[in-house]
Amino acid sequence: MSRAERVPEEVNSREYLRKIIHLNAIKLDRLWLYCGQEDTTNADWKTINTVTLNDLNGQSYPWSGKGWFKKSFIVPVALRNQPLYFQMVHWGASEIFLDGVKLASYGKIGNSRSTEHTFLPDECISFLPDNRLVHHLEVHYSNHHINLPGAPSIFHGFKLSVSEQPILYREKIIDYSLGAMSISFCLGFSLFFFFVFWFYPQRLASLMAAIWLLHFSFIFIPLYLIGLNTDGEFSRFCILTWQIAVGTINSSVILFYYALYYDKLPRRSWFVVGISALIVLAICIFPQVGKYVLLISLLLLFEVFRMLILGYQKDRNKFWILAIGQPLSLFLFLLAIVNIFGIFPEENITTGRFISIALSDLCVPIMLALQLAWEFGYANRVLQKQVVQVKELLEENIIKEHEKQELLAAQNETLELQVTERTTELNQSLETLKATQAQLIQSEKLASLGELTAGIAHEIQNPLNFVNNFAEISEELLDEMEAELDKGETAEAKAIATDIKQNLQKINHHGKRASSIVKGMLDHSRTSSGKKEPTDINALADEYLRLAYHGFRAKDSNFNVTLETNFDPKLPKIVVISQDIGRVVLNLINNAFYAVGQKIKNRPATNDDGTYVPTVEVSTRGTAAGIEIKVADNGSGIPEALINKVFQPFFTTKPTGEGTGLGLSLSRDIIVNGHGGTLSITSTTEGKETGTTFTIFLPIINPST
Amino acid sequence: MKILVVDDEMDVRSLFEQKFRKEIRDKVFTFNFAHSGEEAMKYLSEEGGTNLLILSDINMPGMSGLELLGKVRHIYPQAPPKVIMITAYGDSNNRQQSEVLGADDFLNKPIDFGNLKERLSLELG
Repeated sequence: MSRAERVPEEVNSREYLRKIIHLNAIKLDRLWLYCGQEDTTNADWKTINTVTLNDLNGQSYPWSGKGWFKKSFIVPVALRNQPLYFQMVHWGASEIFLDGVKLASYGKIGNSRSTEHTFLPDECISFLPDNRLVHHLEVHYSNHHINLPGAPSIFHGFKLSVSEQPILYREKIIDYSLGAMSISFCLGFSLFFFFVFWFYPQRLASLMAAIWLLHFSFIFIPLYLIGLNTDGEFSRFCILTWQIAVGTINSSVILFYYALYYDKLPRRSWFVVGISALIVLAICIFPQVGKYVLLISLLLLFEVFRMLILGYQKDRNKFWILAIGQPLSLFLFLLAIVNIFGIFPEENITTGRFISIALSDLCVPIMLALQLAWEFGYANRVLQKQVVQVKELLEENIIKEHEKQELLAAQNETLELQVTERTTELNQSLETLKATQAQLIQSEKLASLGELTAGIAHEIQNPLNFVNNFAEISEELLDEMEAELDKGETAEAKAIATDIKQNLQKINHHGKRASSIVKGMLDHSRTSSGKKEPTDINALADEYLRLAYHGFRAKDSNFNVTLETNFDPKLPKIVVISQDIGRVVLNLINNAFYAVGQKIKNRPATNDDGTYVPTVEVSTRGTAAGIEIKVADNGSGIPEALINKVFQPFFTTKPTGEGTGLGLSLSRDIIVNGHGGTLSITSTTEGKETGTTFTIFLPIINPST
Repeated sequence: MKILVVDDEMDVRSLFEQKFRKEIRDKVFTFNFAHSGEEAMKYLSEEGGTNLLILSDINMPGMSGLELLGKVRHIYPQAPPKVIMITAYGDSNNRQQSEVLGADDFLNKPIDFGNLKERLSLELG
């Protein structure tokens, strides 16, 4: 081993002095001589400008492996004869010789990573310089971590400095404090966001922010730990952790944006997580390719920026904070790493770098906190506004409700009044209706009476004629008898007397006949007495058949019909309101006559082959349950469509003015409601059986009931 | 002279028999009675229409007086037999129809037997 004797010229220059005397320290970071061989005798020493990457400025890095470095330096007069302190910073192993004396040894120098005991020095070595102007420094150094991708550049070489006091720790302290601050900042905010999420889980972005910040802090925690310990292997582990954290940080950022803009994580989140998992795997399995893997993670940056742009389109309020914070953080970080623009004074380069890293670190939590604060503030303002609006609406509603109730009460009152009025009106209408109904029933009676009148007139006229004629003749006969008696013809007088007697009987008979007809007519028109009495239905049916027949004949002498009666001689007397039943029978017979009459009228003359014999049959039949009265005609029949309507009030097929349409309706009422019987109809409109049959069934009711 | 009285009322017979007691006894008139158009036609077919006068009511069950008139005039387009219709008072409709169908005269109901006697003696000439 030989020591370098030559002192570089520039060492004495004022420039050099200004450079090296900085804060009472001599920075030994420039103008070293380097020899890559173990044996330096006759070796070729190469001048290099720096031993740290910071100042590499494009020079290739020479210290992979093991080698000797030497440098001469001057201790200024002011610092002579007092203890000075060396500080070594490196990630490797070294032996330091000052003026040929071994001053310190860090770790164990080796030929490979396995034989080298890597060490991260963290202490100062004191020495007392003698009066020599120039001191010679030799460093035996090995470093096998150069290829570790992503390792901080500071560890690629060593950094040696001499100071009046052991204040060279200052950098470390700044580093530690800034690192600790960033980490606690990130962890604190992460916890804060986690709590926000805990109490308001609807905002998933809070959880994602917490994860982002936790993730973010894992970028700094390994670096911080490296600074705290001296063991190279642990530092290596920390570096791996750091790489993973850096490589995947963008996934957390993306997931945060997803949560922020979509409220729910979209499916492609799995893709993002998948990429991150691949990055982690790649770093763990192939540490050598780690730095290229980190490039892949840059791809995720595109998604980050895409989300920023999407944020601009989606919600500009949310966008601005992130749009400024995110690139600013990135910018500061890059600035710290590369110092692209050289904006920090060279002396303060480390400090400036640390500050910018710290600022970059703080950017994210601050940005997220600002984002959250803004969001909460905004939400609160909106909520407050809404609360006010809700309050106003509520008050309005209460007022409206009140008004509504008042209105409702008023309306209720009006309604009640109206109901009362309407009820009164309805009752009046009902009374009117009842009266009208009674009138209608009466007019129906009168209508059928009208139909009867002609028949009745004929029926009455005949007996009256007989009464008159027989009375007249009897008077004449009395004259004759007197004359015969005067003549003494007693036998003749007696014969005349017999005639007179017979005539008187006839007069009596016809008188009674007339009065019975009148009685029947009165019975018919009189309001029903409602008195049920045993009635001979055969007699009743016969009587009304005759009346109806004469009525029709009187109206239309051309009218002719074959009347068939088929009365059950054993028919018992039945307890009914006879006027009512008579009215029904009359109504049915009238209808039957009308039906056959219409058929004759409507028959085309050409079709009249003379075979049609209009026939109306009235028959009675007794059964165990009651009696049956049938009125059948061989008219045209009733079409099926109309058959259900015939019992409806005011339904009539007769021309206007000829029928009230109440006949069958009232008949049914009388039979069904008045006597508990049935009134049914069968009708055929085609074939031999064409015609209509009405059947009255009256149950036998005990007179006592 | 034969007179056929067509009326559904049975008592018409005794009325006529009493009213024309003398005429029947003196055989001036011979009265026959039919209670329906059908019976009248039967009489006509059996006895013929010569020297006959038909007195017919109009409203009768079955064949009406007008139908009977129609049928009589169908067989005997002209009198004899003479047909005198008995119509209700003011029944101009039936009266008109009777005239159209070929009735020779009309009598109002109720029958005034005085008038009838005069009318019948006219027939005797």
